[in-house]
Amino acid sequence: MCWDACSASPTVIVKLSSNKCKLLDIITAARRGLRLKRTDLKKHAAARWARDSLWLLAIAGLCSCVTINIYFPAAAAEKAADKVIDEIWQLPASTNPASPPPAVNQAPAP
Amino acid sequence: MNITRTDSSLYQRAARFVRYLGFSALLLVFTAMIAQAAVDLDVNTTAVAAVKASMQNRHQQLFAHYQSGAVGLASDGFVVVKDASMVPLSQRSALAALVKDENADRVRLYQGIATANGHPEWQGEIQRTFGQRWIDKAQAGWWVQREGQWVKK
Repeated sequence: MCWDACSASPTVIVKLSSNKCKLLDIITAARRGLRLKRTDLKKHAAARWARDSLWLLAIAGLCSCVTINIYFPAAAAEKAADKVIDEIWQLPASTNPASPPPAVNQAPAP
Repeated sequence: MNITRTDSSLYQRAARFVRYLGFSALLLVFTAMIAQAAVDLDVNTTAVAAVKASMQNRHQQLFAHYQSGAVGLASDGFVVVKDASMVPLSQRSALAALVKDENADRVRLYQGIATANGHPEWQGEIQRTFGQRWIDKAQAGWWVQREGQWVKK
């Protein structure tokens, strides 16, 4: 039964290694090969690293979203304002007004 | 045979930790930058488009008043009758109505943009931003309000 457990997965080996299963561990290690075990360890480290990085990314993303929602995006507002004003005043996009709009019917008396 | 991480020295662990910290800091900065760059105010809702169209039409009439100096651009994002004597007496009430309608549309515009972006509380800041940009884009000879003073651009 213990043999089965040992050969089932590396985590079991790790768990058992601190107990009284030394002999079985050695046999299993021999069966799997030392190199495999080393890569296993590396794989675990990489997996842990990836998982931690993902968590960090998620937290960082969340933080920046919250920050942006709290603070007024002044640059974006200015850009939006320029776009809207150009449309309303019918100016060529982002240039100084040079030509009046086509139809000005109402001529005010001086 | 032990497959636990007892092989790394304290120095190695410290180095790993420092690398880890550095990397997380970089990640944080990059994510923040990407998120910042992605921010854009939406001005394309139907409500905003309707107000824009209405203001576009009105501008045909207001333009002459800006030119003559009858109407000026205030720094708070509204228009005001600067000099009513520039228009004949018979047209003054029409001018007042025009300015009133324009300002009502402007309120709707600022409000519309703020709500379109899910932040009705931004209305005041949007209005301030617009106030500045209207003046910046005004043509030479128009009355604009700068630091509380009315000046001809």
